[in-house]
Amino acid sequence: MDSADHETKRIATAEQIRAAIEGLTDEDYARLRRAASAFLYGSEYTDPLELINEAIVRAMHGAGRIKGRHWPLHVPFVAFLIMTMSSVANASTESLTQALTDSLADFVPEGMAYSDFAIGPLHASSVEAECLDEEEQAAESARSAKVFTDIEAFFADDEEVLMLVLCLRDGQRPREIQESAGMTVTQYNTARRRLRRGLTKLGLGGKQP
Amino acid sequence: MSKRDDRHDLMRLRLLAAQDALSLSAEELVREDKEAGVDTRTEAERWRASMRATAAHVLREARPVRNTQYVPLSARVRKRPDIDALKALVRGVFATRPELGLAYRDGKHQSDEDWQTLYDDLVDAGAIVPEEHED
Repeated sequence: MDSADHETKRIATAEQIRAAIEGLTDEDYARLRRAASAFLYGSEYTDPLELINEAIVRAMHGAGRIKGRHWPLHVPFVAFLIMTMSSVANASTESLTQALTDSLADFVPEGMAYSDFAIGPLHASSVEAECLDEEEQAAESARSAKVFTDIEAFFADDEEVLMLVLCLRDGQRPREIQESAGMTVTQYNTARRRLRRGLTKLGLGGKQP
Repeated sequence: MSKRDDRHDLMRLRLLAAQDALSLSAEELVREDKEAGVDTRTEAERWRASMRATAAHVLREARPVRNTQYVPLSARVRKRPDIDALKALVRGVFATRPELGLAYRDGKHQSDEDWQTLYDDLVDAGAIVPEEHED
C-alpha cells in the first residue's frame, strides 16, 4: 500500500469525530435533519434526533477500532453520517444481505464509493441471520411491503413521484429513471424533493422535521 | 416483486431522499425551515448539543475499568522518611510546584498523620519519588 492509499484509508479517532460535530455548520445540521426525518418511516425510530444519535454512537464505537462504524477521513462527515443513519434505519427495518448493497452505488453522494459505507458491521452476521426466527423474517417482509403500499397510496395523486417510485422498484438507476419517465432534470429533482418531503410526513406523522 | 426486493427498494428510496437533502442550497434550507416554522440556527444548536452529549457519553462509558489489583505507589513504599524530613519534602514540592497548592490545606495546623497522607498523595501523584527518600 503506497502512502496515498494509506492516507485514503485513515479512520477517524473519537476526538476527530467530536471535533467534526463542533465544526458542522447550521446548513449541515439542516441537511442531516432532513435526511434523518426521511429515513424514519418504516423503521423503529420516531425522532430524527434519536436516529442521528444512534449514528454517533456507532461512529464513536468504531473510532480507532477494528469493529464498529468507521469514518474514513477522506469522506465528508455529513455524507458519512447520512449513510450511517441510512444503514441504521434499514437494519432497523430488517436484516439485509451484503450482496444486495452492490446496486446502491448509484445512490451514494457523488465522488464517493459505496465501499466507504460498507454496512456489514451494522447487520447481523450470516450465522446470526440464519438463526433468525422464520416468523420474525416474515414479519419483517410484511413490514417492508406495507411501507411501500403506504408510500404508493400517499403519492397516489402525484404521478411524477409515483413514476419515480415505480421505476426505482423496477430496478432502474437514477439516470435511467429520469430517461424512462421522460423527465427533465428539473422535473426529476422536484419529484425527488416531493418524495423526500412525503417520506418525512409519513415518518413524523404530521410533526415538523 | 419479492419480499427481499421490497426491503432493498426501501433502502434505495431512502438514499434518493438523502440525495435531495444534500442537494439543497443554504438559502433553500432556510426558506424551507421558515415555511415549516423552524428556526435553522436554534435547531442546529439543539442537534449539536445533543450529538456532543452523545459522543461524550460513549467516551465516558468506554473508559477502562480501574484495575482492582492495582496497589498505589505510596502503599508500596517500604518506609517513609522521618516526619521532619517528610515535611521538608512536602514543603519543597509546594515551593517548586505552586499549582499543587490547591490540594494543600494549611501546613501550620496539620497533624503528623495529615502530613503523611499528603506525602502519600504526592508520591501517588508523582511529585515525590519515594526511592530517593527511603531509609
